[in-house]
Amino acid sequence: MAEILVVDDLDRTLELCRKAMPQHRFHGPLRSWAGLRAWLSAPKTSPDLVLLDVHFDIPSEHLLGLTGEPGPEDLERARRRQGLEILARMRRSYPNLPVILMTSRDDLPLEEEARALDAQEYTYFLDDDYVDAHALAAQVHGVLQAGRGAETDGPVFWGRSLGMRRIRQRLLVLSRGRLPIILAGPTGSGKSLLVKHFIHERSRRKGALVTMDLATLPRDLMAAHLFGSMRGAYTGSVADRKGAFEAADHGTLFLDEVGNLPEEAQRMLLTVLQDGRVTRLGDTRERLVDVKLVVASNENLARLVSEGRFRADLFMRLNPACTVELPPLRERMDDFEALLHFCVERALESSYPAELLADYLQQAGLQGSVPRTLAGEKVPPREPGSTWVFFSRQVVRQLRAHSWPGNLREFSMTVENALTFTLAELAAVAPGRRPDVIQVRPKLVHELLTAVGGGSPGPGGWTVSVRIRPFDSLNQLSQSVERQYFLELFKRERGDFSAMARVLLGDAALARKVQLRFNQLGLKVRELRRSLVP
Amino acid sequence: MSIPMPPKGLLDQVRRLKHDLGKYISLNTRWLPADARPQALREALRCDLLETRKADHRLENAWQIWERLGLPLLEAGTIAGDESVARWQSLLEPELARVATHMESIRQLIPLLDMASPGQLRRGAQAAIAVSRLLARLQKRIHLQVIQQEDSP
Repeated sequence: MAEILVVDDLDRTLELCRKAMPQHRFHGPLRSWAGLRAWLSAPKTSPDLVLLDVHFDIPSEHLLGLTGEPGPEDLERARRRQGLEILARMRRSYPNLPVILMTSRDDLPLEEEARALDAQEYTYFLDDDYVDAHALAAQVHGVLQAGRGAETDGPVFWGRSLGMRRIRQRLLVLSRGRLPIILAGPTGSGKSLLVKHFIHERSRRKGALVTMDLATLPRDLMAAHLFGSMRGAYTGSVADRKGAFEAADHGTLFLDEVGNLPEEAQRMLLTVLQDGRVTRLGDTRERLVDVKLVVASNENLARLVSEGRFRADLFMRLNPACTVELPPLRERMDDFEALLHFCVERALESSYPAELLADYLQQAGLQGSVPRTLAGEKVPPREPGSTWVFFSRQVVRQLRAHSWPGNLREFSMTVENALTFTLAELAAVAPGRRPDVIQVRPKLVHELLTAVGGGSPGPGGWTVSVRIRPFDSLNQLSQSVERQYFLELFKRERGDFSAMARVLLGDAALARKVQLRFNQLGLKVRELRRSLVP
Repeated sequence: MSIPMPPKGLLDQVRRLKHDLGKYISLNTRWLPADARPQALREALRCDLLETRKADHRLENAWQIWERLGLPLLEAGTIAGDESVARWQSLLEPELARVATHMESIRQLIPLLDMASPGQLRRGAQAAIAVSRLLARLQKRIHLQVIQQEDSP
């Protein structure tokens, strides 16, 4: 059953949809225009699909997109394209939500507008303006199916967005093939999890998965760890030792932070990729290996190549054309509620919260009940056997507004912490409180989010404060503001100047320029980096 | 002989006619199953023909919409009065003339709707659906014609 929102000025469409597709739940909050505006500006729950009319024959005071004093023609035009105004606003809050425009493409007065909408991935026109129940139901079914796919694979959360489904599809193909895979994406976006629970499993390889984090290995030992070594090959090498390639034979080798690989090890890796043979340090014998190689990097490997820090020939061997880029969490907010549900379920499966939950349920006389998650919705009346983990609207707003520099990892840890502390505090059933509702308090969430180290602009952005002393120049004032903004951005992007350049200048390649400005503002990069280390 | 670009007002009016009348005149009727009972058909026609455009601040029946948007298109010279308009209006005529015939039968059915026989209801539904289809076809044809005009050197 899908949740479908009907946005139309006529109630009839909603009634007809309900009759024609009883298997779905249709909502039409649009008798209240104030409700629509609120929904557009402050996203709450996201439906699975929106059916949106284009022409809205509504009083002028409710029309969106009017400026000045409109004449009768302006009003008529605004009514005829009101759905497009609504769609534009909807896209700000719900960029990936599938929307069927209840009109055919030919009906739009402006061809350019029609072309632009055609190009939007999640916007569909009616196949025919004169659809009957069967045709519309078929189109709704098609769009919903296109939006589906596995939303989760074990601990991997894909969600519903088309972008993530494409990544899943691409990884399914790449996992089975013999070519290496490059995984790109910010820290905490789930690269290791993907390798362990998706790529290796889907590769159908019989060998082991071996993971090496090249950010934590001493540089001079990397080659030995990767390719193996013979006794006496280097100081302290007291026995012959297999390397990661041999250990992962017929399996998968995941090299995290591959950008840290020293020049010599890069050369050796290139040889293994070319010949499929590995030679241990201090040995002359070559050993055949069949390994699926997956590499990941926080840094842009192409940039490392252009800076001369990574071999171009090795980069080309890593199959860069099929690089899979995982988005940061803040770009996946369409799936926010689903992700919250997913993380709550996962957290309640882990041992300590599960233990606390079992204790609480026993104490409250609710043994055997499996809590369901409520996010931003009203708690329903009490029913026997039902328990709720409740995130109020305020808590949902707090979580949505956070910038999540640590991405999925930070999010799931925050949810698990929130549940653990909530359950620990609920040890005693307080009088007057519904025992079937396990409420996560806003104050607790606030503490958890601020403990991460700020970097979280509210819905309206960051707040900076400026102390003005007599005779301060405008330049001094603007530098003070700039400094604060740079600092917040530095924290949010975890010191990644490329990411900051992308935000500030729209081009990640201008990282050097941003770093230069940092120095000009007297900000000490090294000290700041140290402050980022937990 | 090539046809000059149509006046914008005329194209808009065709689009409005298709939307306001064509889309709604059979909205309920065409969703009914083929073997719908006469009472269900009567209810659907009541909505479609008597409350064709029903919004917060407006109620129009099918005939009123046809009078507002359709009849002026049939009456040459009412929009701009020049030759190009007359030529474009002649292009609209094949569908519009048939729509006019169906609308006339709908006009006669409207006051009788509560007493209409199953046969009359069925014919009314067929007329409403025909109006929808004809206006959709008209709009598509004119749209294509305009695109061809724009693309021609």
